[in-house]
Amino acid sequence: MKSFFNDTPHSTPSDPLSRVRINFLFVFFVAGFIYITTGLAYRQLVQASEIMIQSDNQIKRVVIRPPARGKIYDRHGYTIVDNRVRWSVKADLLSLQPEFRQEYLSLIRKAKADPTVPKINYDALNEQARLNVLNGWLDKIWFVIDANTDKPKKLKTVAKLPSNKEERTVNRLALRKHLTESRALKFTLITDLAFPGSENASDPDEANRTVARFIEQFPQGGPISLESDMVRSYPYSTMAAHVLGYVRDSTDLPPNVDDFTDLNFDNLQKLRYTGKRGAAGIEQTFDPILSGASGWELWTKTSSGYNKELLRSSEPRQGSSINLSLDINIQLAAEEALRQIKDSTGNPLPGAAVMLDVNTGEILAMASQPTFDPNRLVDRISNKYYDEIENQGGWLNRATQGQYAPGSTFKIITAIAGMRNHIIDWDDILECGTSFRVGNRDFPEHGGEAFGSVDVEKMLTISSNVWNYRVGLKLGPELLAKEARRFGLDAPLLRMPPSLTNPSTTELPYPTNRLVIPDPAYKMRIGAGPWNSGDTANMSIGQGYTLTTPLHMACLAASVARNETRTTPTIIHDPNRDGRHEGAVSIGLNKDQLEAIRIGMKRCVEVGTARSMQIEGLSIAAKTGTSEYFKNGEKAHLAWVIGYAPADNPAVAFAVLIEGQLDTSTWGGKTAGPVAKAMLEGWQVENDKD
Amino acid sequence: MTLTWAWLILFLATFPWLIAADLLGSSLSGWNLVFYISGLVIVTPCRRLRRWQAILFSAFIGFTFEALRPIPHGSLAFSLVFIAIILSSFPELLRDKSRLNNGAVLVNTASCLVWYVAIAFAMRNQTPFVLSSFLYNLSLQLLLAAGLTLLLLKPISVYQNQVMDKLRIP
Amino acid sequence: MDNNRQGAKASIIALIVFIGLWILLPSAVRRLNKEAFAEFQAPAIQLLSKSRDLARYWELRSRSTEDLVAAGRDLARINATLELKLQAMEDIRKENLRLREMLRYPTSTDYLTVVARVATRDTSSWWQRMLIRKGRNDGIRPGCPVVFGNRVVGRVTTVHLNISEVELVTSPAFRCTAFLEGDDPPRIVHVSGVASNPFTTGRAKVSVIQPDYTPPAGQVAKVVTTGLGGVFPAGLILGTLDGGVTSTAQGNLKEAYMVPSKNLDTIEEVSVLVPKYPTAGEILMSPTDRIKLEEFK
Repeated sequence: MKSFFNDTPHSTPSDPLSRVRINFLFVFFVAGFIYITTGLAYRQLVQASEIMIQSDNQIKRVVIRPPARGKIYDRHGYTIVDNRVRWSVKADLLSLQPEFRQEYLSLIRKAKADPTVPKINYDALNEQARLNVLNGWLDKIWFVIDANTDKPKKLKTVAKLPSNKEERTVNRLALRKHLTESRALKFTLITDLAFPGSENASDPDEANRTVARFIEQFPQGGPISLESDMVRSYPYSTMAAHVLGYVRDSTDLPPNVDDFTDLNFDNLQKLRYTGKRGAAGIEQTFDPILSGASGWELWTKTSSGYNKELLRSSEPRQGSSINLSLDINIQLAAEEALRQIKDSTGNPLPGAAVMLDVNTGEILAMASQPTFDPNRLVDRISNKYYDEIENQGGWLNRATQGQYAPGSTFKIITAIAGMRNHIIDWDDILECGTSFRVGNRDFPEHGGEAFGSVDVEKMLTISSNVWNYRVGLKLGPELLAKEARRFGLDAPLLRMPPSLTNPSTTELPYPTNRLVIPDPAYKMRIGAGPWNSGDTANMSIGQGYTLTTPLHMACLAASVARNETRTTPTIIHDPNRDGRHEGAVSIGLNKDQLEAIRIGMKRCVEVGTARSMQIEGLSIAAKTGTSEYFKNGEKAHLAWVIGYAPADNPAVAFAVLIEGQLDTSTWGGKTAGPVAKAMLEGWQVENDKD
Repeated sequence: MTLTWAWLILFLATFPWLIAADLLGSSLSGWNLVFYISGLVIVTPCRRLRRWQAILFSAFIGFTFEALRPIPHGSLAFSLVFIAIILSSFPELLRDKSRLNNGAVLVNTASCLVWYVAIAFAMRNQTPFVLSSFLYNLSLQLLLAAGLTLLLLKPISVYQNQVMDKLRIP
Repeated sequence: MDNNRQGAKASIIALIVFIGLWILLPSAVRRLNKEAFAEFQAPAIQLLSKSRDLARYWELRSRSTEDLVAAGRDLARINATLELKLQAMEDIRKENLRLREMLRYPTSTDYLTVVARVATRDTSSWWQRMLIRKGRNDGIRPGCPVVFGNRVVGRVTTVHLNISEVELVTSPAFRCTAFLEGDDPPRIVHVSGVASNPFTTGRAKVSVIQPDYTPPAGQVAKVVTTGLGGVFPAGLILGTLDGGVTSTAQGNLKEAYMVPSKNLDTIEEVSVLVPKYPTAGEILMSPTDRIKLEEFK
């Protein structure tokens, strides 16, 4: 054995002390060696549990993980607001520290060598070093994405995607903000790889190609990593944008963070990935339902404030989904039709269109023009796009927030008030000339012609002004206002059902609260002097001080269709809705009186002012209106049409409003009719399917 | 033959053992374990070679193991060199058979640990780290390294000693 | 003893200094060193692999003539069928080209195929690789996809003169994009190898699966390459989903495991698909930095 090991025999019996010493040395070296290798190189990974026990709150922090938002569906279950995968490119600043340092030192060297630099600003150089390094990496990323090496013999880059300077260089301010506020997280170099700049929606193929090129070609394992998350996506882009709203970054700590009970959460430093908060429309009002519950991660941090290792975590919970009452086919038809109504320069006129289910009050379509694309608002709103929408007045939901004089559509109210107060009956005939003298002023018939003998039915068909002046003056402003209020023309709508979220809110945010049904007291209150009979005449044809919204007018049409006074509209679909409406009572007309109103509205489409919306095989009841409003101090016209269909068995009610411009000829039936027609055709298609 | 190149000749003579271990690993690739003997093969030469020769020999062994693997370059070579310095400076550490056995096991597993940790560190951005799985894999890998040492120390020592005898290394 | 201790101390100090220098050394020097040791081993590996082939050859030589005749007859039949298929393929290829031209669709990358024998395999929990007996001399470049028939084996990571290192699909360093069978319209998922435990079959992780994806009922879903990344041609099979699709930590995306479609432990021969023109990623990783990034700006 000894010969095998070629050992020198123990010639000098070593003294026990030296043996112990050697043993000790041996053990010491081995132990030290293992300690150094495991301890230094791998400390952060192996010792996780011990660190967890030893560490205190000073070296820990909580990162809140925002949840995925709930989806939004239309009434048939089509997804109209979704979450899609977003691939973002991030840089791990901790791994980049050596590179930063190197660049920083070289910048200092350069600055020192440069005699023109009087005093070296080290902070600025430090920042510049970071920017240089990150920009270098960004160049490499774009090189991989852009370089088209498929075809050409000579390599060249083909920028397939619209190049966006903002995304191709690191934003100095964004980096500064990141370092001060969330240095623990990775720095985002490209927010959305598939849609760089988030302004340029490229086609899905191109987006996939970009992502794939990065994954398959960009060198792995470095400081640059690809992260994927879900972002809000509006597959129909501008469709129902005002109803749906959009989401914005939010850094508020969500109140519904789970599982913090054993964590002494309040004492820990908190950092979070930016979450999302609904900023308009349903996204805003139903935020508590859609937003879900956040998760969290407990990290230890390095002395310089970076995240070091993950100790514990809890999963976020996706928000619940919402079924809207909208019908995408009707909605799309309404929007397309609205876009076709153009001014003299070819731009779409501002306007709104609403369609309701007569029985349930569910809103089938609610369109407002001009509009915006919520997809472009997902990350950060560029000033350019914000201004663009702002200048067009695109943020306003004209269906619920616009205030308009209802014009001749108000004549339905005047007629009902007249009959209910026995000023006139359904078959009473009034002789109507070309004008009617009120006080010392002539109030003209529209179009300047005399309609002769006019009863309720004919009045609604041809929309005689004189008839209304006469009935209105006999009624007086109080009774007119009372009738209008009975139909809720100035009542707040879309109150949140108590079962859903906070009942003090509304289903759509910020509905206008400046609705006006004028009476003498109102006129005094606004300091416009005492009420006169001219005001009554104006009021009787929906002019003057009266202000209401397209949604209110649609509700009026639905109420008339059901022979009730109120309709409670809602944007939420509920198949079990019972069709009861808050505060609704019978209109209080006898059968003949009601029939006169209904036939009048039906005749209005057949032979009257709403002829432009005739649809073969569908009987429609409608009332048009053209009211005056002041735009930049000059008189312009609003085009209205409200109604319901089918006339004999009402299922849907609608209201359309178009804001005419100074140089456009805007007439109720002619301008607004085609939009109503398009909506009804959309409804017909859906109705035939069922 | 001068003694100056003894380390290189010894390295060339040891190389087939390394290749053989790799081939064994190749044919048992389903094991997902590396048949690691690079630590083991430096034990015997370090007892007899002079320090600088032992250093060069170990460095070459280390670099050879790393060359075709994604291990951070130099991590194993330098740790083997470190071990070689200790072993060649204190040959009495491996004086008798049991000490030699223990020492070889220690050297082989410790150097195995080093490259294993080094690659784990290098891969930290590429694959999620699961502590339990890491420890399980590591312990099996170290166990294999220790087992191989016990199995192969004798033949490799005999072989290397014979080569060194031929080279007339004292 | 004292001398020894002194010497050891000096040596260790020298070692530390040298490690410091090593870190500061230009990476090219380190690369050169690594390359040298790789090239040193390459002939031995080649030789062993070739001798194994030779042994296999002699083993085959010992087969009876009847066996060979039967095998030859079978092969002739297969050949005839394949020739027919080849003809059909050619027609399809032409039609495809015509359609692409009509649509001005970017032509897919052209590949040269290099067939290579597998020399050795090298697996651990941190890597799953094989060495193949073709290298730079045969035109292989880093990043080339490696396939077996229409199945993906892996990707070349490092190329030496006559051998290349191939990272297998199941290796933690492997990355690729894929489409899942039954996902319509197909959406990109991310495939990456995972650290695998001893005595288990290597697997890869398929991540970024959208929450509404459900695998086709009654069969295992195939994972196929997208062909969009400019590295792998489209439609190659990466593997099949193994087990269910589970929710990720974020809860809003899903992930699954994938087993390679071919037992990677037993393949003897692979094909390396060498793109005609270097990809952007290849240029970026090019160790010589011959092509400066600035040229492409």
